[in-house]
Amino acid sequence: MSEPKTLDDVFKIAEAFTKQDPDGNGKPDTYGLAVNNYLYGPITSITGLSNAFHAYPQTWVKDASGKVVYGSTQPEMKKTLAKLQEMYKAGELDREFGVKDGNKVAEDIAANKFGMAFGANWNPYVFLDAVKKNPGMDWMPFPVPSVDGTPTKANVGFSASGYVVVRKGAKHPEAAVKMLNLHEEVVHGSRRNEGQFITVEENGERINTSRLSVVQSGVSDQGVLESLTLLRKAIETEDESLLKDALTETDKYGPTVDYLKTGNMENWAVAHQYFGFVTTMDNYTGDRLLMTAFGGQTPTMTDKWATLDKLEKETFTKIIMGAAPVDEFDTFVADWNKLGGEAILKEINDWLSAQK
Amino acid sequence: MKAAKWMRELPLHLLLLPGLVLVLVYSYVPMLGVVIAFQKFTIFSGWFGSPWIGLDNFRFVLDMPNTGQVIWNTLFIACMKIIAGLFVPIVVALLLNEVTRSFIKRGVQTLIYLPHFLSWVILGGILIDLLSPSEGIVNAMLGKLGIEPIFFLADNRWFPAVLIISDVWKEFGFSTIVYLAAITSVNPTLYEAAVMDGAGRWKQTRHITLPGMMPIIVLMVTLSLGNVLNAGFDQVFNLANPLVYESGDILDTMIYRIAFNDAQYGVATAVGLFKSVVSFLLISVSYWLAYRLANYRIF
Repeated sequence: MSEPKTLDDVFKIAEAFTKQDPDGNGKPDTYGLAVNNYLYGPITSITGLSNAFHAYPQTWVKDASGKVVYGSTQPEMKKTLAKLQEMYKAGELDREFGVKDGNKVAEDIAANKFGMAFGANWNPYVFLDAVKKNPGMDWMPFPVPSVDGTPTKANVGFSASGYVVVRKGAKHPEAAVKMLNLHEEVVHGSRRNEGQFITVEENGERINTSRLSVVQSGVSDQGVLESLTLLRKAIETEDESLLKDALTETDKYGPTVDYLKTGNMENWAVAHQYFGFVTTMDNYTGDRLLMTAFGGQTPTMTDKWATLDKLEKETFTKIIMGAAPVDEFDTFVADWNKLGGEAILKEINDWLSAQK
Repeated sequence: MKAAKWMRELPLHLLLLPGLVLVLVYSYVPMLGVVIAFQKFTIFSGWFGSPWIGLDNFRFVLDMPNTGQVIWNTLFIACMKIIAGLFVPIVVALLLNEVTRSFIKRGVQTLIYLPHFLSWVILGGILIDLLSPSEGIVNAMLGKLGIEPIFFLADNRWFPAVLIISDVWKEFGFSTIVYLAAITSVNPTLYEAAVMDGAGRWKQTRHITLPGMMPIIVLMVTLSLGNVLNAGFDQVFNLANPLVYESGDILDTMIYRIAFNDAQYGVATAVGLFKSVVSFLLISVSYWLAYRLANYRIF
């Protein structure tokens, strides 16, 4: 079997894992693709496969006219669900995935039942147990191929992870900005000094002092990318000194180099996360990341989201398991709009146009 | 004289104090929180800052598309659990009472009591494995009888039955012990007299044991009627999945989603208050009935 280059390869691999009895026990108890009953999230989700069909579930996306629409209700999602239903019928998904949450699926991965899974770069840490338990098992990261010529985009959440707010009427609001600048300078910038500002070692205990700062700045996307590039160069040339300018992920160097040299399984997960970084850097740069167009909460969302989310998960699970026909998707879209989705989209679009 | 008696008993009365304080702090003070049910509550504004909106939270719940179904599921599952949860332990207690070998009696008693101590988080995982259509032992046994595998946890016809049966299995040992205790308190001279009059096992059970247990049975019924809207959050939360929302979604899981996914604490409190009021009414009515029909009083 070769590495998946196209989406058809992916489906062929799924079929091979299902039909060719890879564990050789003579029973049809292996599956192509691992999916858990939450459907989305960073591990064993259907998001990656949806991306292959240019569907971006649970994400606010801009359509051709620039208006924000909901990713889960777009026609591409219907195609994804149709394919998943087909795979389910062919036995390539666990027949019982509907009752299995992420932990349960992880157990099944450890029981050597799955061939593939879509997830985030840190998934190897979850798979480590499985790999240790099953000698010869390995997992490799690959970019998601596209259903057509257009490259796949990966949908990502809202990029702001936190805000620094200052009370209205505070005497010196500019102080917060000054503190942010200082933090940025000593942790990520010109005065960066690992031993002094970031990790202080005392009596053998490492304390991450930068995380204790009242006001903190995170590493920017660009900073992460530059650090990873340095990390990659350092690992490829085995020159640790290159890491002195890296802002984050420097702890991956030692374990990865060790794994590449000795194959030490203790470092399998770190090394494989690094492989994931490399795959991501080579494939998902620039416009291949699709960020949600709206990261807040509207009043109707507060009122209706529980209902809408339940409706979505219920319908999608039923369609995949063949308990409802694929065309049930159209009913779902109509219901979703009627039960508050349309109002939410109006609020989002109104808010976004008011910001211009 | 009276004062001396009072002084003498004062320390004993003071022993009640810690218990009273605990009840006040953990049962009565939190009741003030029901005001949230009538507010558009946000954490940052608190009790005093959140605007009052009257009964809007209650209307909001009634307007939700699935509320009718959810209330029906709750009532159905809870009532079946109450009925089965009364019937099974009484029968088992009567049967165990007839077992003469003490080690069998005690062994069975302990075994059926054990699941009571396991949490639904653990049992949920175990049940998913036991009931699995491909690998579960239940379907393997059904297969031996020539029955096609049944996907119990994903089938709307079976899911409520799974909830009811597994709940009774988990809890009937506890009630059985209560009923067995009631049976031992029956005066043995009554049985001797009955034997003299020629009563067999069945007649003894019907005319002595059951009437002797009656006060406890009435008490258990009275207490359990308060649970008419409690279909068991832990259990449903750990076993439910999107495929059986239709038959398994209950008020508590709905409150959970509203409160913790959408942060609508006002609405969640409103539903909680509704549940409490219904329980209070039912307990009051059943207590009154118990007094009227069985001359039973707790106080």
